Amino acid sequence: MPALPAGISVTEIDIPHKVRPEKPRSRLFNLAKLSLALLVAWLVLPLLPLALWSFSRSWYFPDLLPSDYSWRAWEYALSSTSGVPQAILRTILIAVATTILSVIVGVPAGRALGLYQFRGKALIEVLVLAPMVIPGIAVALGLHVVFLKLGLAGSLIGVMIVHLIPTLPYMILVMAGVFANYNPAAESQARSLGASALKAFYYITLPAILPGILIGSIFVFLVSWSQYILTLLIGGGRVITLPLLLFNFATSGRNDITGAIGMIYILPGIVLLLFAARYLSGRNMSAGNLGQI
Amino acid sequence: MTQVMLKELAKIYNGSIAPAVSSLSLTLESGSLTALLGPSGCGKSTILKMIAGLLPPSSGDILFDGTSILRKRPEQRGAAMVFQDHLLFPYMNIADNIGFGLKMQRLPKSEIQSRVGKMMELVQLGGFNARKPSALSGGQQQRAALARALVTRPKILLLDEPFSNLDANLRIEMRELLRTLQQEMAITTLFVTHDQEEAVVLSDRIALLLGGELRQYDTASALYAQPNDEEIARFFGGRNFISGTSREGRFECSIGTFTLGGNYRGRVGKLTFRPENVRIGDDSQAENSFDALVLSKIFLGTQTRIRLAAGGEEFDATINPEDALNLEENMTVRVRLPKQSLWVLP
Amino acid sequence: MSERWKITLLLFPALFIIGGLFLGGLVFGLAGSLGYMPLIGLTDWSLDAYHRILSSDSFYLSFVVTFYIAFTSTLISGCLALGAALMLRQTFAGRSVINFLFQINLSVPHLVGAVGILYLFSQSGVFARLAFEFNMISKPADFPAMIYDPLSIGIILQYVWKEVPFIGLILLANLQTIGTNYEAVARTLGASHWQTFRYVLLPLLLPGLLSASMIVFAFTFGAYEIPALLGQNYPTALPVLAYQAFTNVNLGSRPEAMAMAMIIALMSGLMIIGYARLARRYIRD
Repeated sequence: MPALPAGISVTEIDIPHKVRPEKPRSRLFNLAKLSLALLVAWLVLPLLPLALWSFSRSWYFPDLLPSDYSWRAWEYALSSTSGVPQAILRTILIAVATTILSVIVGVPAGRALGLYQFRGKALIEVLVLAPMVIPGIAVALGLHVVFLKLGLAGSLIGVMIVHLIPTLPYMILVMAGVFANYNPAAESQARSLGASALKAFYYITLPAILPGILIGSIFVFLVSWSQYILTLLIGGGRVITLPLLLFNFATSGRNDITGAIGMIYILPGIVLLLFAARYLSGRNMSAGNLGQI
Repeated sequence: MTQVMLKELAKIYNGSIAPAVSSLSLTLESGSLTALLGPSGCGKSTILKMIAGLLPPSSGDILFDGTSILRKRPEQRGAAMVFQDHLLFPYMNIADNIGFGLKMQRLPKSEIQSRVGKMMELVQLGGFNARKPSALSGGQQQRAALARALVTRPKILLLDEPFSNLDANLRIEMRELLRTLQQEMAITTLFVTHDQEEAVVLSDRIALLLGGELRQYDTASALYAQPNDEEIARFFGGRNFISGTSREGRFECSIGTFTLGGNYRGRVGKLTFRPENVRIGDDSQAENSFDALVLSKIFLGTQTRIRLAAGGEEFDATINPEDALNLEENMTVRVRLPKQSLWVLP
Repeated sequence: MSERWKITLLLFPALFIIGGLFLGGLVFGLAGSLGYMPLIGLTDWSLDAYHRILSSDSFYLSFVVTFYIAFTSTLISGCLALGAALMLRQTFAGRSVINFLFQINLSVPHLVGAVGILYLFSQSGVFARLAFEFNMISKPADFPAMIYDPLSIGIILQYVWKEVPFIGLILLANLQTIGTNYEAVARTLGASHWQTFRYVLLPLLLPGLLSASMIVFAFTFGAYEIPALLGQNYPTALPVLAYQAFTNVNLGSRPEAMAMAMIIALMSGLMIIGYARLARRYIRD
């Protein structure tokens, strides 16, 4: 843009359409674009070698790409000899059980925290927050012996129970948020029209809080799905979940099988996220809730 | 003390068909207080932001004292803005908030202190220096926001519906405060509002915007008595519109022929007059009087509204409740329209 | 039913579980660290475990390494996330893509990311091979060690990879709530772009940034599987050291393991306090 002679206002010059000169910060803007492109690449990067390894038959240093491809890592991973299908099942079972338990326990707690003000509420909120922040190892060591005595150590149920520790807070927080925006007057209205408490819950409350329950369930599922140290300690090496298996194969040097397992492992997370993005509102899915998976 | 001129200012947002602001030309005299009045969402805030430099115009120019400021960045323009939300910085105390602009301009501390101190006295916040915004009431917060803008001695003060969050009594107080300060400091001021009463009470002139266009720029009394068209008349509460033809100082319609007053501007179309100017019960045969039928009577509190019919047309009159006591439905009364109160619309 | 009773009933199951499992675990851990574990026959209260670890080199080294990893990861993630959030604030073409990628990243478990980092940065990994391709190295051992290395570069990379989107999304949400009007006011009062950032936006953003960082710090300090996979053997991260002590055949090291766990709990406890005090400052709902 040529410099405008002094005193001439912009309207006196015939400039088609766009009048504003280009922002002097355009160089900064291009730098921003570049960094963002790098950011995108960076986010995807670690997943790529996993995928490549899972399809490789042989991939030796210094080749940039596998020299030979095959499905065999996948075949092995999906066969029962690898222990992967059993581990998948176990992990799903634990995650689902944890989710169900957390819904049963977390929804009422969320209601209490969302709808009411009471003395000691701040303290309870910290108490609910704490298990999300305090690392599993700090808690599980103490629980181990107790679980041993109760016969829960090394059992599936024991692991399910202990998974509640990091997951329950998520459900409670999400439900508290849902109930904070919820008007209980609708329930009283239904009751005054003759509905029983159960019917009022089913027809009035449930539809209103269902999206929140689904979102909370997704968080709970994902947190349980990614649990490592709690399963390791309480499961005592007898409850083998997918992350444990992944770890073992990763340290074994069989990169191809590890790649396949890794791919399988991230799948539910992505599926659930897509489901949430498509069918549920984005508001509750803030990262503050998603925490440390 | 700056004259601000807007020349054919326009703004179209990307992806919009209709412009938010179309070819607005307006001159704000130095030291005047102008109200930018119009219904919500008709581009008023956009205009403020363009003057402030927060939004680039699609075309047109903005001049301060005759020089274009389009190429200046917001912080160089001297166009201070006050929003509906006080937006006081929550982590600073009041004194620092008010002195913020001065600090950004790197004035010496002593000068900042003295100017801030004086301004705080002016807005009656003396002694609140160390308090945080959250400790203040709504009215005090908005006063602090006003002080923060004024203390920088801006070339133009822009206010975007600054009092709509306050309750009625506070609003009146704040209007008086704004008017006093603005006149004392002689700062050219443009404030956006959708509240007619506020615009009428506060401003030297009103710029009426309907649909992104400037429809009339006049004093309040001119807008009431001499609106440019029917839409404007209705906006200001006009209720009486009689179709007919105007010819050589007279208006012919189904009610009769009326003599027009000195404000006749040679238009053909509709005769309009304000309900409060209708005279009922004058038995005289003076000019512009005729018989009308009382259709209804509604008590409004400080006034009574009478609906009348004549010549197939209906119109409203507002009179003192006392005068309305002996008027009943279906009565025929003598009505007179003083020629000064008549105005013809296209 | 009175309101107090209602609230108590609603909260009871959750509090029972959290109280029982979570607090119980901490309490038993504390008792165990003080030598009291009746279930396996240790009944003498003593501070021996603490004495032992506090006078052991390996504990100090582990503590320092763990602190270093947590601090560095948090610092880098925080800064990068701030930059990313500021850039992503404006709407532009690729924004929803990046937002989406951020969220995908959040759903990928840490362990998978760690394995990915392993395959990228090990001495026979993808980057090593690229270096060979460009004739920068002639054999794997020439490539700088980033896995199992004293600087724990691989671990830090992995944490940064996961935490930048985490902090970034929190900051973006906060930026949304803060809005752009504070900055608009500042500009019209005479503040330049930089002044506006430094004196207006940053102070508004800082509490949220710090509180998110505290969560990140607590996590990176106490995580087990990532340093177990990517870290050096000596000195190893504190959680790994604790696990090793716990699974040691010698039952006497159990109290030491618990003591280490208590120290980890203490660190994260401090972070919770900081978080609770900072999290919602200046962000009105």
